[in-house]
Amino acid sequence: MEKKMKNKTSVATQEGDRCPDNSAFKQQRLPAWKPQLTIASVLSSFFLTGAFCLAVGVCLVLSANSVREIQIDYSDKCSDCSKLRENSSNWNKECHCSINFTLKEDILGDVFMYYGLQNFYQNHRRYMMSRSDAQLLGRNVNRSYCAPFSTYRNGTPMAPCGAIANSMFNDTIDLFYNGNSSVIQVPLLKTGNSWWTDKNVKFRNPKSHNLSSAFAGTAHPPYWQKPVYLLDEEDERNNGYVNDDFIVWMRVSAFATFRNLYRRLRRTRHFADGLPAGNYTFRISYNFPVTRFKGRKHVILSTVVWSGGSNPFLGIAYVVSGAAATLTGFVITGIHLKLRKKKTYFQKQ
Amino acid sequence: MKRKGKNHQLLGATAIEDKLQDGVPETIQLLKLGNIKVWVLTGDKQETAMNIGYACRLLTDDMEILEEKEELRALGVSSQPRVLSPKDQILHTGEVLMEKARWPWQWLRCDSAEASQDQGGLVEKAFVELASGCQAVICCRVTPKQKALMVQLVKKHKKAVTLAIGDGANDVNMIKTADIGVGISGLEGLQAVQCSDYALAQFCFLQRLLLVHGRWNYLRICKFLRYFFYKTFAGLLAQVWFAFHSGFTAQVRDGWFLALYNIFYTAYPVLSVGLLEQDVSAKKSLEFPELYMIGQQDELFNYRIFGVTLLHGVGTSLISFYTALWAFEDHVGTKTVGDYESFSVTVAVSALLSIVLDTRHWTVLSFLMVTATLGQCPHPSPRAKPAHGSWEPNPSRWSSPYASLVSPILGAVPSPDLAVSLQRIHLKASRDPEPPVELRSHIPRGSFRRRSSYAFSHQEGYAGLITRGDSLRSRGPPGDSLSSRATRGDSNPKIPAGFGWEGTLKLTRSHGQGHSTSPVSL
Repeated sequence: MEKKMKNKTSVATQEGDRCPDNSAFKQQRLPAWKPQLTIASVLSSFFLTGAFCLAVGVCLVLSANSVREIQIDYSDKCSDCSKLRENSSNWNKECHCSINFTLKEDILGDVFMYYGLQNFYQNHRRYMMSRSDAQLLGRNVNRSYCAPFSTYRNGTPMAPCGAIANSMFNDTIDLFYNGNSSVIQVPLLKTGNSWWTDKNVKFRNPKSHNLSSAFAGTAHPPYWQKPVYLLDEEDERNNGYVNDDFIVWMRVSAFATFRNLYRRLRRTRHFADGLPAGNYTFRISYNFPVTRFKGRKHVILSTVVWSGGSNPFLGIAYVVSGAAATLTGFVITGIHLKLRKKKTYFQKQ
Repeated sequence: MKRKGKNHQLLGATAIEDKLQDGVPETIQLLKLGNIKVWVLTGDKQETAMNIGYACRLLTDDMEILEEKEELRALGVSSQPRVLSPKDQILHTGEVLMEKARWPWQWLRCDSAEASQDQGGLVEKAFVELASGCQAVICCRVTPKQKALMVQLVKKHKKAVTLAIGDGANDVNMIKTADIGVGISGLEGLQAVQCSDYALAQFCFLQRLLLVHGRWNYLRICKFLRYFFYKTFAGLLAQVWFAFHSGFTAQVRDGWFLALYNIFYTAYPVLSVGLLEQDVSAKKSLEFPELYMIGQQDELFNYRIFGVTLLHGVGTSLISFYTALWAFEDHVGTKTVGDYESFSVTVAVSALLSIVLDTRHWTVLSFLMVTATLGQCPHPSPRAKPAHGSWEPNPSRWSSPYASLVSPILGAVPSPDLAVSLQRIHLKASRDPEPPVELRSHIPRGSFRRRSSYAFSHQEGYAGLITRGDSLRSRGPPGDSLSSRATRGDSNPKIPAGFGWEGTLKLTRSHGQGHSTSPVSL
């Protein structure tokens, strides 16, 4: 038949080539690797996967356990401030709250302070759409997505516009260390908390010779107390749209319980190695109301490890999968050993 | 002008031979092994058809031949005018015939006259059932219209896919009626080819068409479908689960991911599967035609498999989503877009791993496609570098691989075609050492063995002249013929002892004149 096919090919070539090419691709003769599921390859893959998952899982669990974390729910503790903030006409009254806690051991290494919110749905679609990235780049553009937080009734545009910016977290949290004799304010870093691309690319202040004139003709959003060019008067590079707290807030969270980086420990003088053991106090200027939507606020102090934070879920999941894979490997080995005798029985026949 | 035949000198004899193509018997054998019933519809006369049947090994010597009388009796048509439950008769007859020791093979020869006189659906159904119970059916003296009608009959009464193959203009009708029409381009012109779905150059290419390419394409389409349903469920149900956590509002962020999911992230490997996948090589497909039955029995894509695929997709989406959710609990502050990205990477990679586990035939193209897809996946968090070094470690580095690994592995376990192919090949391998069981009658009917591919076409009288001899004997019921053959004492079956035309001769005689001489005009 091969000869006939070749003859046919040669005949057809003479008559005007209607035959398909005799290439490996068109004749489906491409060289191929066919993985064979032998007992050796199957068992080795199961055991290897099991071992890998177990190892990774154990490492993850151990590292998660090594994270030192202190989490304090201060919307409960500062209940008088919460009640004050329930009434929105009290917006210009200040309310301060102090929370004490004790560190039994030193926390060595970098320490990060977060604020955490619970039951705050930043992933709601209307909320997430309510921003103007072009405005945040410093341009003067149409802010149609920001409605109803785009202009005031008298026509003054809001800067920054949108519901996300309007609802920015505005509590101020300070940490104090009750030393032997005095109370020291723990030095914290305000900058360097956001992504490089955000700080330098996505958020730009409008250009002008000075910042307040750049925002001339605009007004701050209704829930804010200061205009945007006064967010950080000490550091010009942290003022305006490129303020780190603002940028961190504008990166909305995917889930309703989240934490945002707030401050980092500045490792100088007394705190060069971390946080020493002792008594500490959070002084919070409570502005952000959460009781209306049954939310909660937390302040968290935590170290970081290579694997993330103190959540052991992933480590446990890996351990479980690794155990399941190893168990399955043993089961397959058992089945194979049991059936192997039967196979030789047939082969003898 | 009449001349007395005197003083003539025989100069020679010419013969015209219409040979069978090469490879026809082997092809028919393979098709029969693949559980494909082969019927021959020809316009030739009866002896030619029978000879062709023997020549291409559609019929063998140990088959019992059901001719007109037996058929009509079986169908209950001729003896009684009423057609009372011919189905019962058929079943009864079929069973009786099946149970006859060592003669389970029958072939059925039906004549054109009878075929055109089938009246009533019941008789049709009875006929189709009788014909289906036979190993082979030869219809002779069939006009083109009747060929199409036969195909229609089979399509109507049997839930089977029909394929009609022919090479002449008289086959055009049946090629168009059948589900698959195959035309052989050849010396008889191109009409059959022009109206067909597939055109072949030789009949023996049919075995490659069906057993190799047909089977591969069935496998490829089933894998493709399963994978597409799986990845759609896996990718998009995750959006549904997210809605439970976002107040049931839709999400705008991953619009690009959704749009490009089917085009870029998951399309290439399945393209290579759909084009190039093979479970066994072409050579082995031809050696094991039984593998063809997988397609006939819908084993690679049916309701059960679709349900399993659905469940697998749902499971994958659940694992992907909830792993991401629980791993990132309390840590999703500035990692939000990292979440979306890593989440979409998770889903895309798990879909990719699933097709990787499903691909059994790895060509260079497959590797390229997988690499291209991996290259397109957005990386989990290269952008998450803050101004002062990388202090914010990313748990998604570990959650993505986890979710991506677990769900495809879980889903590969109930992979159906793996199980089916392994089972079939195991069956075949265990069957192979034994010779194929063929029931042969102990008493050799030697005369049939030397059937030739030639047929005579001449007038009635000459047939008798030429074939008279010791091969002329009456054909009674099978028992009698057995005894008569036994008394014949033909020890060496290979020695030709005249032409064995007992059956046809009998029929010719019983039906009198003109049955094999004048062309049938109906």
